Amino acid sequence: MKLLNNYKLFVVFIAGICCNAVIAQEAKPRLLVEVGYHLTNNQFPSVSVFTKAKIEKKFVAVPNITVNVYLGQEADSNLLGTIKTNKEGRGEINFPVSAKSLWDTVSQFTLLASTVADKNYKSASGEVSATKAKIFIDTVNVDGTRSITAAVKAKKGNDWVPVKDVETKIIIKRSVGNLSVGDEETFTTDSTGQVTAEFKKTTIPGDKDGNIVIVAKTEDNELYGSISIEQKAKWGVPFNGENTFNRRTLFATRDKAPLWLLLLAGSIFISVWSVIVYLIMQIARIRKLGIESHAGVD
Amino acid sequence: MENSTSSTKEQITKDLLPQKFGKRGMIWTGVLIVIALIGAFAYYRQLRYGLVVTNMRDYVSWGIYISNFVFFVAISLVGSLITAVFRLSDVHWSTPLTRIAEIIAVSAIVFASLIIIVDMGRPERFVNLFIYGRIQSPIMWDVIVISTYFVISLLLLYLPLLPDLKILIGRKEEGVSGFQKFYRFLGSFWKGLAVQEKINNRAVTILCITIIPVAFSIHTVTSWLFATTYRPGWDSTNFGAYFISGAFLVGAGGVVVAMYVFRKVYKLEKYITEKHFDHMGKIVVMLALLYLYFNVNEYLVPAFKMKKPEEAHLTQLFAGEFAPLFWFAISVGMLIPIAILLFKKGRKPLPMFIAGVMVVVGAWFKRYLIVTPTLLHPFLPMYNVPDNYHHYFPSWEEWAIAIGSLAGALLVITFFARIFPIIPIHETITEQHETAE
Repeated sequence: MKLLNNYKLFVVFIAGICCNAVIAQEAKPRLLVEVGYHLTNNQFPSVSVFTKAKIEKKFVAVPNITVNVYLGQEADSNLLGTIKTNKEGRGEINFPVSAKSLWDTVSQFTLLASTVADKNYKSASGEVSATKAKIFIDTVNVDGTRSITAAVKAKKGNDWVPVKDVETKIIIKRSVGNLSVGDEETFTTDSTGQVTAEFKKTTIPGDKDGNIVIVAKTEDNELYGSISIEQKAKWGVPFNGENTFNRRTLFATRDKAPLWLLLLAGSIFISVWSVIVYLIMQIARIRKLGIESHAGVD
Repeated sequence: MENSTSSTKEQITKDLLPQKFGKRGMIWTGVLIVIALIGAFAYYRQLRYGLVVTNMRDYVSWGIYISNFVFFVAISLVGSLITAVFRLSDVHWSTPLTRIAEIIAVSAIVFASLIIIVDMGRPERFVNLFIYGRIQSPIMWDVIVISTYFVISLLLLYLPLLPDLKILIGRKEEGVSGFQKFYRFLGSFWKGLAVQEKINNRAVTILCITIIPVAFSIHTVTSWLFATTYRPGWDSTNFGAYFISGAFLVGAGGVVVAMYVFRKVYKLEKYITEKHFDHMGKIVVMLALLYLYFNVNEYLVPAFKMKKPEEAHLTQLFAGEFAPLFWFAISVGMLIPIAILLFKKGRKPLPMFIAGVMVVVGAWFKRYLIVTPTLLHPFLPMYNVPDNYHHYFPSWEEWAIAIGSLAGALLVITFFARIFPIIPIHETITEQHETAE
């Protein structure tokens, strides 16, 4: 009877462990994959992915997830590449040259990103569908009034047709963040697929020739993704920063120390060490006198 | 009359000759050697595994080592105060203290240099300072001024020692008979000729004049290592004077501790009298008040303005993580010693010794507070860094090396006092003779 009870106990224990393992598997958080399509200067398509999971009622980025990206269905022939997400859960890949023939044939497309299951997360996938589109930019200066015109065109069959009601941003690219060109930053394309923005930042510093970079772009557009184009314009104030390279400054290399510093430090050093050398000579003199006097006594 | 003079001379010489270590001396030296060896072992570990054995990371890159360096540089300034300033001011009562002050200065400056090499991580890189060093960098100024100060301090220790070497050479007493070769090597040429005396006195006067600006430079440049960096707590035009006043205080505190110990151990009550303690007490209290004044300037003015970047730093010092240490350093390093030494009874040997120890201990922690909290409060917020980057507490290797270096400095002083007279014999005899006349 006691043996039977022991068996029962053992079976319950094993069952408990199995249930626990199943529950633990079920408890794996669900991974979500966000996919983005980007086209820069109408030439370089790329795909971005963002992996996240809902943990304790909050979405948190999941790093180090391997994501396969496909153009269309999940098949080896459609594979654009593999991304490993960074510590912020993000990753990006440019379309490979090998995908050009397939890419050229499509007007509308789907980008699929799928992950492989691991010990922490079950496999997951995300996708984005878009129509191929391009964005064009032109700068106009009429009687001192400067404006920027951007046009969005989508591929229809073999033609590129203007598209209306697309939110487009026109901005000035700066080192940290961007600036609007006028009072507003976002415009909506009209029936000709165009937007026009007046350039009002007339005192903005440019490079040494006065060049600034103007960008027209759509951001996460449901139909066309994120497409952008840049153009230089000589509308900035030329910046003539003083070039201190190769000059004698406090922050230059050792051979370019300022002369005044060399003179000051050198003169202090020489004066103090001259005294030290003099004193050492005095010790030598004391020594000589002592030896001479000793010899005299002898 | 002549007989009585020579018997006085002989008595002074006997009193002041170096003595063999007694039981306490052996224990003291043994303990210091053990501590220094533990420090050496910790340094071996640092050399083998790299600076990763320390708790210094990206933000706190100057930790306990640099605090220790600033402390050593500070205490070394006492040589210029006791020897140079007093000698030039014709203050004679300080004669028995000059050699104590000078050996403290030499040992401290040696270990200041060594601790910098420890902080560099890879010692072979020290040579890069000379190959690639830029004269534009305050670090380079520090290297130059420290080596200059070391040479001058060594000369200031050596030149007044020459007449004493003549006294030591040929003596048969137990404490000095074993070092005769060494004494002869150092000073057999000193015959006590009038011309030798004249040259020597002149050289010492020149040294005293030279050492004062060099001593001021050494600590001013050390303060500039911080003040030329735009950071909360360091961005001050007051730093040079603030550091120098603190240095004189800790140096004077160190001398008080040393004079008490030497007086007690070598039974020098006749030579280091209560009058010396009284004078030194007045000097320490004056220096403590001066340093307190600079502290008020350093902390009250930024606290009154409470500029945003300074706020976190000052709050941490006054009421935050570093508050216990900060108030400990201020009270133990300045306020309590002032309270003790303001009264005549407080300037007796034992209370003076206690106050001296407090000044030195408070000063060590004060240096730590100058270096570390600032590094934990950079202008740009710490973002996306491991948790331990937000705090700093030295690893056991850092403690062992820092304490080992302090033990090393004390060993240098101990061995010096074992080999040479810690109170100048010749000068004492001359002064006694002059007083008798």
